[in-house]
Amino acid sequence: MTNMHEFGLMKSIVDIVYEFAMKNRAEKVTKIIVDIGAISGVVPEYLSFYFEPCTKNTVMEGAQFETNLIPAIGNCNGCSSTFDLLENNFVCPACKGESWELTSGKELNIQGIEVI
Amino acid sequence: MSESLIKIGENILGANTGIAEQNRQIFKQKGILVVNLMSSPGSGKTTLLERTIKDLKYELRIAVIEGDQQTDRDSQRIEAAGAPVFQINTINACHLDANIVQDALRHFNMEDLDILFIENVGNLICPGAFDLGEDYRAIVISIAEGEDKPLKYPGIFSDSHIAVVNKIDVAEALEADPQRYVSFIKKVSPSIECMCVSAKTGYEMSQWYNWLRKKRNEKKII
Repeated sequence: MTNMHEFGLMKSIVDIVYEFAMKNRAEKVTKIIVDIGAISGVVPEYLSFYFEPCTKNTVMEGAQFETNLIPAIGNCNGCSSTFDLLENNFVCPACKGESWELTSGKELNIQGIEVI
Repeated sequence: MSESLIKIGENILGANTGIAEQNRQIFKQKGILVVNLMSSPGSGKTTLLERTIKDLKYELRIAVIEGDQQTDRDSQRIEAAGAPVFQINTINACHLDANIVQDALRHFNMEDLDILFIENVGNLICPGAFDLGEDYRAIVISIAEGEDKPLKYPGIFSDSHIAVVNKIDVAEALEADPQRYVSFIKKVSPSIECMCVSAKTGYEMSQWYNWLRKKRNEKKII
């Protein structure tokens, strides 16, 4: 299997979660929630695929891995309205403007974990 | 035992970003302009660099970090063009990261450089997520790739600073309109700077050189 960058990302997730779990003296991590931007270049399914192999024999083994997709949002430079870039083909639905600033969509964050 | 929720709110790539910041500081101290070149395979990144080195080597001190999954074919071409080069073979990985780049820096005389190009692994998805500490991200797209590539891979275009549309010399044979490429790129990245060139024939390469000169002068330590 080619080492897609999702594999490296999952290893980073495991490292960060492990650190937080230890700091909070958790016995077990039951859930991990990550935010993934719609244009971050990360495929949630590929990421999830690596969860099991990367967490075997750790406090995270068997935990629920939840991915939360963050839409790519543009803030229109013409009329200041915000809109979903992918759903609107990168064109502001309000004023048809094609100039905007990206306000979200590149996220790759660990939102939080549930532990016992 | 009861379950409890721990908020983390930490960037997954935080460790990479930290190393990228170290790289950025090194480049700043040395006054080196660093450009991360990204594209799909076969867009002509290496050809663009070859010509750039040949045309500018008596004016600017250029070095290249070459990222490929396998082989040193590209680094041989860069070396033949007349620039110091270090080849990274990522083997199975699909991108370069800040740590690999930092490790590569010891192969160069950093006191003796004006521009460092990092030729990323040819791939329109993964390299976009990894900050290497570069000043600018340049995306190369060839006229042979299809004008809708930016719409299909918006992520990598959306945070690039400059787009070089390459292989303009074959546009007519392919019945491709370079301006349509530019408009599709601008569609997913409104503030990006675009230029259409042929690295093979040299057509409009002066635009690219002027951009490099300008950015280099802004970075130079006086």
